Amino acid sequence: MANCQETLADLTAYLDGELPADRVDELREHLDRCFSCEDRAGFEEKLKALLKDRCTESMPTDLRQKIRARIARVDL
Amino acid sequence: MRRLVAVSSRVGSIVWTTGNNLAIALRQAMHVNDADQAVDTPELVDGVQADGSIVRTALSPEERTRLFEEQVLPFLDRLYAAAVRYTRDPVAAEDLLQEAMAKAYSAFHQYQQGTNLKAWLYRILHNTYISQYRKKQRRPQEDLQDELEDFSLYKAVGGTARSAEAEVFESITDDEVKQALADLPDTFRMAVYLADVEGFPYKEIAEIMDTPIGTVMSRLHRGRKQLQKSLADYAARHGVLDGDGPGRED
Repeated sequence: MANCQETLADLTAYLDGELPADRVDELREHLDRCFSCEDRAGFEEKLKALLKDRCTESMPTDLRQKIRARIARVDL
Repeated sequence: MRRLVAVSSRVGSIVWTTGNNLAIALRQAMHVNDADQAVDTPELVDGVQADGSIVRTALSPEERTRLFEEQVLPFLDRLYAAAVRYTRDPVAAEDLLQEAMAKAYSAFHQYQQGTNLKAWLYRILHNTYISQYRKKQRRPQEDLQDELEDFSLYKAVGGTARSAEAEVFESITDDEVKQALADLPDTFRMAVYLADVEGFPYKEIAEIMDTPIGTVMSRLHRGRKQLQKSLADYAARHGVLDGDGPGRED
């Protein structure tokens, strides 16, 4: 059973999908029964998602065509 | 072929410089797609170029263009978004993406079909940025003020107050999130972007940035701390966070 300290130490790797499978199970067990760590995990997850959700861009409509034209000029 | 790309992008490791016989891989790939659509099997000849680089796929010009359009162009929107974050400038991003795509097209015979195309493309984008743009700038600072080492937005927001948490996230605008990322040193910004926006595993970020995994993790850690401090500052400006709060880990 993981304690709070171990759970918080593993949290970043867990959210990044980098935690080994055996420790993932332990961490999830701990989150299920520890409100404080579960709350922390939820916050960090939202923070990570914030970046992905907010950093969107619309590609200029003519860029795809510019790239096709550029490729057509590449001298192989 | 589109389904093949989706599968291969989940394969996970970047192995385009080593590996199995491409011809077999590509023939298998073509076979998989026979059910979906008729695909002409390209002429495949193993060989070595004049410059010594190994040709993974000897492509006719038509085949190169067709495969490139089918496989690479679907990534353009995401690559453009990455180029904007890299260059921090939409105009420069267009130039960077065009240059990177020209390089990818030139080198497309070196891409091993069936391996991780997305990572291959991001590595080209990354290298193109490094060679074309970063040399114009002063060297990036990887310094991080010591007081940020243990900064945590979670602690700054104050633990378990759900309403405060939502208020903080909602107060920060998209442009502020982008600016907070833009304010990070190059290497921190790239690591954080590749991990949090693109979802690359550490190992692939290490290969894209040509740096050890430990360095990637350090850049991620420090970049995220600095980013959280910037976000806290924006939230404080919006009056939803105490700007003088400690935000320190216990």
